Amino acid sequence: MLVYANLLVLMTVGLTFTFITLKVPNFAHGDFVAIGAYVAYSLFRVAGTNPYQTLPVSFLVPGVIAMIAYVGLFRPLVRSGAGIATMMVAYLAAETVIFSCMLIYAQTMVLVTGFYFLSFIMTDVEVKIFGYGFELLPLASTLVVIGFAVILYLFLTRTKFGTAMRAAIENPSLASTLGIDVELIYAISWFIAGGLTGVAGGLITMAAPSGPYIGWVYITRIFAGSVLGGLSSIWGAILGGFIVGASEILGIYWLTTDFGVPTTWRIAIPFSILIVSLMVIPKGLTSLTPLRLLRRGRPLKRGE
Amino acid sequence: MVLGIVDPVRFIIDLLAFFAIYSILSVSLNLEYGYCGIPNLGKVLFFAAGAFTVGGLCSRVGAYIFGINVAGLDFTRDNFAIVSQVTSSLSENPVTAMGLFVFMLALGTGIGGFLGFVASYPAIKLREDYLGITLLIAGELWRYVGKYYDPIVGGTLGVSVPSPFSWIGQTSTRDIAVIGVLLAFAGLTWFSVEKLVRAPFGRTLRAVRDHEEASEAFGKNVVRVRMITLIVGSALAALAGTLYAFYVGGVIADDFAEQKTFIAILMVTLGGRSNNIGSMLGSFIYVTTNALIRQYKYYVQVPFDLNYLAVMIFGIVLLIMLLRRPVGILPETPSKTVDFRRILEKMNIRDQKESGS
Repeated sequence: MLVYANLLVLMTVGLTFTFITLKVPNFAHGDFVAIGAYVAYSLFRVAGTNPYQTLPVSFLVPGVIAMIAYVGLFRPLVRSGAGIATMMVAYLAAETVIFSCMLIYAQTMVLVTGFYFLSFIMTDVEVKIFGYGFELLPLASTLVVIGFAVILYLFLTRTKFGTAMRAAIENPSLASTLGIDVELIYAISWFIAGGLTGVAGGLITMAAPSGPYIGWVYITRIFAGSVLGGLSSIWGAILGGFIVGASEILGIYWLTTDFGVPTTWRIAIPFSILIVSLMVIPKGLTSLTPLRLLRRGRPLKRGE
Repeated sequence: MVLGIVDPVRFIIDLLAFFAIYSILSVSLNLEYGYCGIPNLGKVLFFAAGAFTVGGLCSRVGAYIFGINVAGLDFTRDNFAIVSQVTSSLSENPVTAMGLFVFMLALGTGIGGFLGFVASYPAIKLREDYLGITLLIAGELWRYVGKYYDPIVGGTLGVSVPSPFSWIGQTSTRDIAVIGVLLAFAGLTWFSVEKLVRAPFGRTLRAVRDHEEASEAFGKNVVRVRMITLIVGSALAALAGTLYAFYVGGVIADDFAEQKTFIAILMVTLGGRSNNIGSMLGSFIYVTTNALIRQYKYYVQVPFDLNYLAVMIFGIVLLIMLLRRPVGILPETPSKTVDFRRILEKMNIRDQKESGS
């Protein structure tokens, strides 16, 4: 439960970093999870490492791909005057391209290396403390989330670049008049977004079966978490991702044990969270008054 | 064998049939995405709605009509037995067969329209991206329902669909009849959508797409217009789905993955947004390319399935189109209005009549 919720937090925060730049949710975001997972798995097969050792690579590769996608594709599109609808279509197209690349890569690797590449799960590292062996992932994923949250917080509030980043996100035109390179900051936002999501992907290989398709599996949860958190707020994303992850696991556990519902129906839980939050609090949890303090950025009305 | 194609006649029949089905789908998406500006990322949901209706109900209704004893038969496990009995009964009763066919089409279309209302209701008042997220997840959920709840369309095994045209004995005649029906539906869809977008309602759609606030200021109910568009578009997509299920002769839930939405969007964007001929052209290009790849992929030796490469190239083509030529191959044409001289003539005739009387 903790692992799943923690990793969803990372993915949701990643989505928020892309949303605050272009103001349109990235439908290709789930594929960064798949890329991160494949980076970890390929390195395990080739070099025999475990996903913890390859976390920096799981951060870098999807991060760079996300940055290239932004600079090479999405930025020119926005500059050419693409509206929300066109951007959504472009995201979907990018998703399809990345997804097919993953499938081609996986199938080729099956033939080249002879290992299973289309669906896999990796074993967690077991740690022994006081004679009790336990799996590292619940602790490690929590540490990763807390670590990233602290780093991001310090980075955004204490460094000059972080302040510039917040300025560029709040008001791009005003920030650029002050000499802030908004484009650079947006590109770095995409890098962070891809990286955070890739890290989640690298770790999730030890918690759930993975394959090229996991982008679609997680994008539904990521969106539910983001909408619940309010899309444009990083702190809301942390909250939303955790709530969706925790309630999916606890909810399906409860439904299975008490009502005999098969576990395949777990996708209904993030979906109902999404529907309820759209109908009750479309601006997300952080728009509620007691949580106003956590709010960063402005929720968008239609037509904006 | 012609040009490496094993059965050229079947190839052309398949090509025309899928062109007809996909052109209904793309024209329906064009109504939503091209004319009203709603990128329906859950298009597959409505396509699947039609197909699931046929897959789940056609053989059951058929069995009920002909009084076939299905007690003790499991719909999923003994699907083939039920379907073959229904098909043999249908082949003896042409009128009932056609009645069942039309009834299933109407039912599927109705269910599609209703789902269009239900799936878009939570987010219709919000921005397009919220609507897109909701529809996308709804489509994914729908596929899960089909896949893991066996009584609908047999879960992971899928179901067969009885052929309503089995009463036409000769295969070639039957193929021509089926193609005729499919093309007729495609033409009818094209004609009615074309009429709809040339009507005042179509102008409202474009106004909502181009400037929401302005159209709201002129008293147009934007939410209502979007809702109607989505209901009509979804009903048409479901029509395409029912025809698809009947033509393919079977329904399996995993066939209705998000890729179908991508294909629909590709067809519309490639052919030309807000141009129904363009959408049909787009679907023709897609269907032809796909059919050719299917035929020729066994001649190429690669370590992966060539379909993935094709999808990837389609994605890249779509992105290049968005960057370089967002209007598509056939751009939007201005609405045809009545020729000014004809208006003058009419006015003259009326004047003469008035002065004459």
